Amino acid sequence: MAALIAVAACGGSESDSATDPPATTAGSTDAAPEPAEPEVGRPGGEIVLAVEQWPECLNPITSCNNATWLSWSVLVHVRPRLMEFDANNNIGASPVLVEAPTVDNGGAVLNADGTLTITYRLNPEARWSDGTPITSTDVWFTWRAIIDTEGVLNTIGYDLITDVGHDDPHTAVVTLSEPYAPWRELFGGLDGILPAHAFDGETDISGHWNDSIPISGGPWLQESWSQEQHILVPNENYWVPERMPRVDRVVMVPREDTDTEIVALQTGEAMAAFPQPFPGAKERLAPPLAFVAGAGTFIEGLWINQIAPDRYFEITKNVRQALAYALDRERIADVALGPIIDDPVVLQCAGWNPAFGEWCADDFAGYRQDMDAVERLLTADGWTRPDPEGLWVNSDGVELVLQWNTVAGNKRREDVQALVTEMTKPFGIGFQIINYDPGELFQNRLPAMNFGPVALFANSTTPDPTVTAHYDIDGIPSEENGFSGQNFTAYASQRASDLAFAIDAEIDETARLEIVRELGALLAEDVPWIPLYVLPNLLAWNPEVLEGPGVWVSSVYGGFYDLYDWTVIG
Amino acid sequence: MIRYAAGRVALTVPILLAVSFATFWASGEISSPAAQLTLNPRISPEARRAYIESLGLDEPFGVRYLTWLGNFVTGDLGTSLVRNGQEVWPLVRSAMANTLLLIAVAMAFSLAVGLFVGTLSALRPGSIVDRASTTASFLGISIPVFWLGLMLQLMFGLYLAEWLRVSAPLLPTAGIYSPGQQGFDLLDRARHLALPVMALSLQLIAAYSRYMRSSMLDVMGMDYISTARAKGLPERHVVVRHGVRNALIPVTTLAAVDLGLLVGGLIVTERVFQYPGMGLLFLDALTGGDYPVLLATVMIVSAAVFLMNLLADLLYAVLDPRIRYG
Repeated sequence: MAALIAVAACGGSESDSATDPPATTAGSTDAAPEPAEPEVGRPGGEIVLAVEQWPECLNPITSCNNATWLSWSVLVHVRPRLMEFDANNNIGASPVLVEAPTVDNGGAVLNADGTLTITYRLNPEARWSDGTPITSTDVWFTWRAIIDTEGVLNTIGYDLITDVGHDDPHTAVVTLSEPYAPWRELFGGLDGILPAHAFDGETDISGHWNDSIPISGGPWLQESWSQEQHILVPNENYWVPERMPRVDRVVMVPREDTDTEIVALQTGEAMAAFPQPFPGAKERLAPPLAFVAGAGTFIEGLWINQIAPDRYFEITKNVRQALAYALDRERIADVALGPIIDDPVVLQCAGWNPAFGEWCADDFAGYRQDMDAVERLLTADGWTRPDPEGLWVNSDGVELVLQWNTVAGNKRREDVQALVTEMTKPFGIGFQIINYDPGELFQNRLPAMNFGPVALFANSTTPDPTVTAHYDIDGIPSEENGFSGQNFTAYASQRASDLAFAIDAEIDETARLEIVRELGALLAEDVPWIPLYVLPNLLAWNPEVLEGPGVWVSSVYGGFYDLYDWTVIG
Repeated sequence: MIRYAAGRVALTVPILLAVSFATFWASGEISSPAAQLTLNPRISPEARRAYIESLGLDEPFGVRYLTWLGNFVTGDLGTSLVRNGQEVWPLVRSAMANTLLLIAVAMAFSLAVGLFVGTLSALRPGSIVDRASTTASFLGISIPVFWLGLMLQLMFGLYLAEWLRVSAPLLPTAGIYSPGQQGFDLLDRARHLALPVMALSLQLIAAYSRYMRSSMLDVMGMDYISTARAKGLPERHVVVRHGVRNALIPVTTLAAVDLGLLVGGLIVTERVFQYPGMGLLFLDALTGGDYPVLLATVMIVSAAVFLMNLLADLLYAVLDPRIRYG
């Protein structure tokens, strides 16, 4: 079986060099070839890729960029970044920088007045596709554009910047009003920088670059983009020889139906695809096709809304822990993901992703099915079980039945609901399943905390360990804050909230990891939500015509990131 | 007839209003552009709130609906919520052109084959041809389009090429042009139309052949056919001029009704074949919560269905002089 699971190895250190080759995912075999060594000259040819979600528009900083596929299919190939992730999602200097700013080299300085100064030394070789050098003015302009442009969704961190010094074209000095630990992802990571000269000094760029990105600072240049296809050609002014594309052209075409996407691979009309995990993947992507699977960026778990209107009793810590002790999470992961991959990753931490650094520890590993633990916890809370085969009952005579919501029609989640309902019966815990359409659940019920007490959701994770949105005690949606927070479990722990903020403010990575560990242990004790599994990424291709894919499957940049290294066979 | 047509058109106004109201309400229930932001930790609550306000989604339902309706009746279809302010009309126009092309080719093909097969069956009822076509028709009506589409893709894209030992698919399985094609290419466009037309036509051929067979059997039993034969007219003349011509009347009206239904009924076909028409646009708008685009597609499709129904009724009167509308 050529298909194998390649889970990205953990590693929290920064890359040493801007041009280090990406680390290969652990456990790779013949299905996941090493990236080919760069050759002198360009072998040429054309690569055709099937893309399953087509971006509606291209503007890199407005709501267009809320679509992950805009990043995967367009931005990562053309937009330069100051700091960037490698294949294992460790962040380091990109080719735009001479070196990564660190506390040790004086690039990141926490000042006595509490401000934070980051000094980026830009590579004099770096230039845009039209030949204009990439300078500190571009960094300044990007900051202004993010602040001034109408409809920008992600301003977190940028709103703390008080100035971007750009007197020296090769030095950008970014000053933040307070310590901000995820500073590496400002102008980098999943973001990037914009060419100031392309917008005639206009810092509201909402009307620009919606259907084309004419200037590139990456290995590729966009030749054309429409709702039917997207064509990339090599950026001949790219200054990094190791990343110069080896083919003449890449054509991406939308194939939004998974069956159609896989047929395109089978017929040879597309050479590679990065499909969502789907049941039957192992069979349909069998040789002559090849695929690798790796931990993706989405994790799924049971969120426990402690203030759900439809709860019939208090959802105490003991009740939450008892629920965790009633679950066989390995079996749940097998049922949810077994039809897709061989060895699903069970998630053991509440908020982080094992694909990203060392943040995710085995905090929840102690939660295994344990009848004694369930009895001890519930009995201590005053629950009794008059019928040893029946449900637990509290002193008011109310049975331990939890309403459970998720998105209607999602087969994987509905399978999990059916399994868990049967699984917890012997433990005396029952569920009332009520599912909703996405609009009703996410737009109406979730922000108003009118769901659950149990809900099964996926949430996206980022390489940075910030979890403030989930655990900020002031972020529990309520009338006072206009139902605007994202603490959807109503987890009201001041200590957890403080630790989450401390993670955001600690710029020393070692000290930061210690705080993450402390918060992780607290979350395992309090169980605001129960982690289940990491949704995998799949990268599939035809090895008879294409060489190179497979290395970046777990990357936040998507499986197509290293297109510059791919070659056409024959 | 003019009074009748005017009455029918007037009747469509309240119905279209009801359709628009129901769609507006349902679109908010099913999805919303803001719903996708709810669980994104990279987006602050303030940015999310500002985004909702910028789209006008914070306004009460009634205000939003009346604003949309006011703009719609003055010809302003508005701007997309998820395409950074792109106007709706160019999106709909492009999708409509693609869909109409697909329907025109599929209808022409289906009518030609369906009428021929139906006529043949009716002329020799109980024959092998009749039995075979009847069986094929029931099969064609029963096969779901999503399954048929996938089978066609595998057959013409993969298996036939393997059996014939050719390296490329016999027909492209999706899209409207080959990857990398730029500019208009008639042959390439036609090749990409082939599979969606086949998928769409199978059910139409099955239906038309059944209607034609039934209609033809009725007509061929009429007195005027016997008279024509008694006058010594050649059988071919009797069948074509007197039989087929009259049998076509109910089939023609059926085709007109189908035309309207097809404009909105292509969601599955367009999705399977990644054909950028009204169905795909509707689906994208529905899942993205883009109600201006969604409503534009629904209203245009609804209007098309009403118009085609009206056309069918009027055609019936034109083709059959016995029918009169008061």
